Amino acid sequence: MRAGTTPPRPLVLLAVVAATLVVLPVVGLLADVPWSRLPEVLRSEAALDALRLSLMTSVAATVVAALLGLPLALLLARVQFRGRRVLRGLVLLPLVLPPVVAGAALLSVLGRQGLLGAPLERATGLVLPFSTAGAVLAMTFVAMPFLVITVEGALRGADGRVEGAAASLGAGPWTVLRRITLPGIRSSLVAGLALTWARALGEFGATITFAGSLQGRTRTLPLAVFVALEADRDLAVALSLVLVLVSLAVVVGLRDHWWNTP
Amino acid sequence: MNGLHAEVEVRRGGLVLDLVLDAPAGATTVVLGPNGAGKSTLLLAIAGLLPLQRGRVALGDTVLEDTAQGLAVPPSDRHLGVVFQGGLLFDHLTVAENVAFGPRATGTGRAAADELARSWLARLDAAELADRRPAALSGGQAQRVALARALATDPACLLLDEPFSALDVGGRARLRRVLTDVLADFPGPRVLVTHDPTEASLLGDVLHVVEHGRTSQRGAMDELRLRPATPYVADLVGTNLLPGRAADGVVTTAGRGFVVADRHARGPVLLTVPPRAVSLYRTAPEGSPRNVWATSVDRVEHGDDRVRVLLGAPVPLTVEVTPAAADALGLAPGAAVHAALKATEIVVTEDAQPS
Repeated sequence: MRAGTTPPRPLVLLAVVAATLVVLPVVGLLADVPWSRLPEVLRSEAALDALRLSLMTSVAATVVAALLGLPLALLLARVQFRGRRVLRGLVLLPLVLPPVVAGAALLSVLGRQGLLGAPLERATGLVLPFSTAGAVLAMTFVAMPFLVITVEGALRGADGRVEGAAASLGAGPWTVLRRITLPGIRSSLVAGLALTWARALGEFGATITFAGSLQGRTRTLPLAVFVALEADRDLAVALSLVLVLVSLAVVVGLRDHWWNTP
Repeated sequence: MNGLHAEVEVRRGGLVLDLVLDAPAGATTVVLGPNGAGKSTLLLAIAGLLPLQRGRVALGDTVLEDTAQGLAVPPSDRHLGVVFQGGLLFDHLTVAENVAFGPRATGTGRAAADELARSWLARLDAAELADRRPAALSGGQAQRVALARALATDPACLLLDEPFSALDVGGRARLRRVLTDVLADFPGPRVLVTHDPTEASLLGDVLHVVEHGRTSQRGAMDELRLRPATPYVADLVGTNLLPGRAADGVVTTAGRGFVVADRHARGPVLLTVPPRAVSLYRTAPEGSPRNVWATSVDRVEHGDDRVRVLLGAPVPLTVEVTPAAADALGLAPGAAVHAALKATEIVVTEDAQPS
């Protein structure tokens, strides 16, 4: 940066306040961690249940988001159709929608009296609300847009002519997708999956609204933290620590993708 | 023989491409035109990568696309070897994997495809590049790899889009040498797109000039030079090109030495002589005696505002004069004239070093 471009002093002060606001709570949490009791707390049944469940549901939600989100990203990036811009906007809605509203919306559609939920239950006996599958669905709803925007952006930035070159060499659409398109956006794909997984892991509002908070079934890590804050503060802080470390790992792991400026 | 026949009508952006291309087998058809004329669009349309508004593409008896029948063979089943502008190599694969991609995609086993790829790379003077990534290649190397990749699929027809663009002199010469051999050995139709008249005249058997999406002229180089149909053809295509050898400001071509302004050129060169750079006289003029020679008129073609004259031995040159000058000189086939060439009007470019 050239000399003479330093911002006015009051702004520097405000910037320091902003940075403190971001960093201080995390530091405060670390100060609160019951380090000596940590192994014991994390081995409690409530903690293990939450850890196991969160790992399983967040991975499942990421897999579902990938299976559904990749085709959507491809469609948005590669196919010209009416309403594409509108659809692109709608897909991003869960990013800004309050998660509790997302949960309420899922209840309206897939609740036992919901638009699809009632026929689904009649036909298959499957009840999504307050089930582990429901928690996965809530996470997928909230987290999938991260995968879609990351992958779609990468696809739009990639040189589509390379796919044409592959086709001219005799490769059918599946071969082109598998051997050219996806390897070409590998780093964005990994970043999108990591973000999606992190968002799914941290999901709270939609999950508790749609799936409730049943230990071992729908009480994921964030929900367990919330419940434990009243009853067992050490457990809450210990589980929070786990989530902080995972979040840090994702941010550090994606540093080249998001903040690769020197 | 299995020639390529393409009737193509395509709209792309502001461009309307509407022309018929016929490329016979065993010959190199050069599609020549200014930038933005629709040349690349034409290749993409033939390859099936751009939909035709209307038209028909056929390779021999095989119809690849016919809008009247609603028929369009997908790009992967057309068996055309396309060398795209800039090469369009797959960055995440090695050079050998790039070349093996086509055979692999069409069912050849991994080992056999790799062997095939390496043998093609060797043929194209690129064996040592096999294990590199495309990012580590020069422009000329990338083009040779792209050519190997297209040929490895054993295509029925070759389509090359501006293979020489963005190459330096050395890269051009080397690629041209490789390409000359490859084209000569390729039995099917060869279509080469370029905006460079030099490459066109060096590599093309037949020229097909495209301007603003339409065919403006087609024929052999000599024909175009003598009877240019448009100002573009006259100015760019109609320029004389002579291979020669340079030393100390003199270029020897057709057994004659010409003084040129470029004193540094050395070894094999190409001389570009614009038709208007040559003056004709009835009697020997005064001036630099080396660039004046006695010759005779072979052919005369009268245009609206210019007359093109093909000179005979010793230096076959196309010369352009005004109709008034042609009358005054009494130019007719067989007429004896003196030709004078201005040293500063001769453009000297380095050519391939013989290897």
